Amino acid sequence: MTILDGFFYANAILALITTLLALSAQNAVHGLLYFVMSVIALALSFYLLDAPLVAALELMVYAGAIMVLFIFVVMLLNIKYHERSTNFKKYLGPLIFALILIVEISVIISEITLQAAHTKIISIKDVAFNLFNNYGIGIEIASLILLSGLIGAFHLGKKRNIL
Amino acid sequence: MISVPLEHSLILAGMLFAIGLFGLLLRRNLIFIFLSIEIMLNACAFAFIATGHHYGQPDGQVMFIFILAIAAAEVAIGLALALKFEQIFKTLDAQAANEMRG
Repeated sequence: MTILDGFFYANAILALITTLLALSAQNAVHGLLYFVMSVIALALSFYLLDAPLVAALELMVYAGAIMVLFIFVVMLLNIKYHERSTNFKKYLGPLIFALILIVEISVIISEITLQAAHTKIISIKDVAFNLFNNYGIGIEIASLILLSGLIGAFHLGKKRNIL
Repeated sequence: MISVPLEHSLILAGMLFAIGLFGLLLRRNLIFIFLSIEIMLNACAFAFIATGHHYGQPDGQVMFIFILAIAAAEVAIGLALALKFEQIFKTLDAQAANEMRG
């Protein structure tokens, strides 16, 4: 069992804890930030599972695009918050989680130069070749879903009093 | 890069999915309900990637791209619905919409 295996299990535990915290948070923004942490832990797991493309996509689309959409909606809804607490103990948990993630990222980046040579990673070329050859109909359906999502969101966003 | 058994990855995916399902059933806030759905989709994606890694095939990553597209479309519609819901009912409590019209 190498150190990277240990990182995988650490990531698993971190993802479980932060997901639980995300869903049990009272404040929506706190929940979203815990979910971002869970997404980062899962992205690191994807990287360890030899899927760097998926890790990058997970970070960009989930932690980037979808979470920003959530936070925009929370800001638009203008939910009342409790008073800000300056209690240091509240920051301790997220600080420890973030520290674990930072240590893992730095160690993985330094390890990768040592042992990337003799591992067989499924390359982006393989994924793209498979995607556009065997799953062409899937791409068409995904594009239809995205188009209908766009039209639906536009329709719901218009100013009317009924759904 | 790592050599963990497939079962452990699948157990993690199952536990994440269970957490998301319980959140979906227990929370009343619409934002948290959508967050639970995202977590469940994420758990499914993790199961796909772990299985794809185990068999050394790129199909798992292809499925991840589809899941990503579905999650993006779902969250756009869902959050538009949440905004509309808040305009009408002045709250995000899903329990407020327990009456039919007419």
